[in-house]
Amino acid sequence: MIIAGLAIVAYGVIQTLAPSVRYQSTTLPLPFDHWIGVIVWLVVFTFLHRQVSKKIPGRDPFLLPIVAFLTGMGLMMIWRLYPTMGLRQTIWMAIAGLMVWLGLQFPVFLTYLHRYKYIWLLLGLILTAMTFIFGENPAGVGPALWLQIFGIHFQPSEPLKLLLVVYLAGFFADRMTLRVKGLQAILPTFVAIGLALALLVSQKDLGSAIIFLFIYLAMLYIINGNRWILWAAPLALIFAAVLGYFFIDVVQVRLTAWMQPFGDTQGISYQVIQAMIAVAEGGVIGTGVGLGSPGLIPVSVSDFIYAAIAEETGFLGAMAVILLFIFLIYRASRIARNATEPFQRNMAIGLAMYFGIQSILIIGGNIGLLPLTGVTLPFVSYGGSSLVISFMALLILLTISNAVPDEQEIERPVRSPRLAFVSIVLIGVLTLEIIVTSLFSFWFRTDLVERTENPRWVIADRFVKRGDILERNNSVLTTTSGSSGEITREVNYNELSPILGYTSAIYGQTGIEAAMYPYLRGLEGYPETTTLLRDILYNQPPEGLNIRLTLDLFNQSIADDTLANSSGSAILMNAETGEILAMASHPYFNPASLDEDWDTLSNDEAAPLINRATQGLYPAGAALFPFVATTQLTAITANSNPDDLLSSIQLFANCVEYPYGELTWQSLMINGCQNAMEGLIEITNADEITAMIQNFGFTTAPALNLPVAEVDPQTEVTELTLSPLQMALAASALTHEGTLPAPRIVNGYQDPDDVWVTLPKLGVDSQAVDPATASRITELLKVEGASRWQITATTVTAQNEPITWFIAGTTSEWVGQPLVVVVVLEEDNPEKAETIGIALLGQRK
Amino acid sequence: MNPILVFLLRLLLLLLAYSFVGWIAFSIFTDLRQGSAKSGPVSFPLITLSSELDEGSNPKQFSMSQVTIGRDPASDYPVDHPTISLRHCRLSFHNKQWWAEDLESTNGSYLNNSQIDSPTVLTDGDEMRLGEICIKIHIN
Repeated sequence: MIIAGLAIVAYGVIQTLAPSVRYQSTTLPLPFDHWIGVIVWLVVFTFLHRQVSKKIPGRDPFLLPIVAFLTGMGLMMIWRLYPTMGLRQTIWMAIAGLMVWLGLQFPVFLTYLHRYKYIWLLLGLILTAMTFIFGENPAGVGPALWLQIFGIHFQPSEPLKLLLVVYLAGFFADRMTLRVKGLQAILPTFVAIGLALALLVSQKDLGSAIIFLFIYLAMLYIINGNRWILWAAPLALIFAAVLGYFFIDVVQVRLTAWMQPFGDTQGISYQVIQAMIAVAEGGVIGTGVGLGSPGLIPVSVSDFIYAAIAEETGFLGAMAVILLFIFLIYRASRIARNATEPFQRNMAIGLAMYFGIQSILIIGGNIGLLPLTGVTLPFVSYGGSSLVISFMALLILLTISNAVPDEQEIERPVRSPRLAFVSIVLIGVLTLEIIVTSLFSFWFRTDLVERTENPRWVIADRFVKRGDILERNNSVLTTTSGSSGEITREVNYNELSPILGYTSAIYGQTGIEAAMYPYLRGLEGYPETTTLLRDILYNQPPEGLNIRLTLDLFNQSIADDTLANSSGSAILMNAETGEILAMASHPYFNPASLDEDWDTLSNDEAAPLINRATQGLYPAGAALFPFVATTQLTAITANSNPDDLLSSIQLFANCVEYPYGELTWQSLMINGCQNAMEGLIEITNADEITAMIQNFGFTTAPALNLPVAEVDPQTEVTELTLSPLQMALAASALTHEGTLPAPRIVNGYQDPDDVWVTLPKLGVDSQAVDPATASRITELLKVEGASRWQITATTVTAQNEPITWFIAGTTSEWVGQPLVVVVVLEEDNPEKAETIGIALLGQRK
Repeated sequence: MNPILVFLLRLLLLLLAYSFVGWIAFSIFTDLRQGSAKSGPVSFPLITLSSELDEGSNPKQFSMSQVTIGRDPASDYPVDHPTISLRHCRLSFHNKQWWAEDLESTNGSYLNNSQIDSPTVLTDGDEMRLGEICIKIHIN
């Protein structure tokens, strides 16, 4: 008893100190409200302990301490989750304690329970039936299972459970002396239970209905010894489940969620998944009281309190709770075994079943072992009616245990193999639940914690600074502001939003924010001991690390300024290294108002949330001409007049601009003459074309720290769709010695000692074409009087919307890094595409 | 400072929780052991009664911890004699002794000629007189 007291006080102390740890500051006021709970708890149980020792010295000595500990754990958890509910629960606990005291003053109440069992049952049924007319739900929505009296809500199905046990115990006790055999003996109980079940089922209180059914069957089996129940019960259960599945929505939802917990994780199995994740978050020793986020589980305070306790006190705390329930069941069934008077014996059996079945059902529901039933965890969960009734049950057990005289123990105890069997089954199931909990908090921990449904990273972001995103010259693109607890992400350069992505509590994260999350969040880049220590002490990741991109703000602003209001994308890339110097995708969005604008943004046909540069797939059309030309270089060189090679084709049709002047391959390619390209493809061996497509990376998705479009499996060259990024990489191969570079957008991260560490490229470079061919093509496409090659092409999408490509690269005369630029406009505007591209290259028209 | 304090307190909480659980488990365990020792082979001496009516030829031995004597044939040791009440007296074993207790009989119970008005300890060789009947007591 004293140990329990110390433990609850320790719980209270932790809860006081936890916020200062969480916010990592000492200036915050510490919460002391929950000490009301601690003090009332101490008073109630000290008082009860005294009273019980005085009034019923022969009682079972373990029951009260077990209950005290469970109640204390629950109460502290409720205070920690919602202080207002904690206060209410504290008051209920005091009331419950008072009622136990009253019961102790009048120990004859057991006889009255027995004598007037029909009246009690009737009362319970009437109260429950009243919910049909006067029923309410304190939460405002959901089944109306509560009655309101003087502003206090209570749930009649809770006392009904107890009264039902009273009735059954009394009935069987009377019947035993009469020794009536056969079905006749249980017919009246059948009617009573059927009535109760019908009431509950029509009120959609299925959890209570199932508990009734189980208690009834268990009592019937243990007391009456009807062997047929052993096989009839599972059959009846399956029958009820099937019936419920087709006729009651809730049953269907719960059963589906149970059978496929990972099916609809945002819908029907949301609660269970969140509970499982919470258990996993707790690990072995828990996140620490006040340091976890059990508030994220729906109804964590009543139905899911087990998961909440598992998160904050870990597997060990959860196991302690289950062990205490095991002891409770053991003691209760022991009282039943030793009780001499039939009514008391039956009563104890019923109550042992009541505690056992109810705790099994709800704990099993918490960890997905059983379908979820909305019942409370006795003594622990929030809920006044449940608490009072559990205390009443405790009172009855205590009184019965006191009535068992010591001398009786000398006699060989009544043999009760059926009671022992059922108790062992109950304890076995609880043990199984311990094992399943350990699976979550240990073996499958990382799998669960890393699930996308786990929203705890949002909390971490709010409490601990996330890393900044810098461009290549260390200008800050994205940073954080605010103090611990209300840190928000601040974006300095909105135009980059489709590339950098967003991080939103509701809609998750994308782009660089998602791809570089481990570094930005501080999960990587720190020594493992640091992350581990932070996790154990604070349940928080360390401060996020800054990352540096390859983007150059100077080039980037040129791209964004020139692209302006057009929908499209522009990429400037270092052809040798694959570093992306500028990447623009328009239209863009304002990440600061993402949550408010979400509906508009996500339904916008212009798709501002998409990064067009890597995720947009555009039909390539005549933009492929130079790449096709690499396969026919000899023929092109031999026939400088295209007419000689493609005599039967209208070479000038489908060009961007009519190629005035002398007809050359250059003029056809620069002006993107689709017919000419198709003619060239036709006279080329299909295998060579396929090889070319593969070599230039048109069939592989580039590896980058950004989401990239799925590769278009279409190998029909004229219908190929490519992302601007893929095009930029292929153009790099032409510009720089035929090498297809792997792209790079993240340069590195700043480690805890402020040293910049370069991160390797995700992909590897490959040879697309031999260097001589590449330089031959660029020479062909060279713009007179400038140090660049370029092509323009227009095409239409499958939906007949115009697309303009502009591709350019530096030539050997260019001093400095070799560069390529790719511009895609979702409009027919070669003029503008060219302007953007040339401006990005830093050249003049 | 605080985080370490809280961490230690968290460990303390778990430690206390488990000392609590452990204490209960231990108490139940010791209780069980004692219980099984108690309910093992008969742990109380058997009592043998022989009455005048049987004239010593038919002593009856009991393996129960409680024996009722009376005119009622349902008694453990029925004695059919008009001076004996229906439920006359009870012998029971507790506190490591056999005790005799008068059940408010009409003619009273006497142990070695002194009336039993409160539970009295019996020893081997004692002679009880119920009404006009003498009962010899043997305790092994």
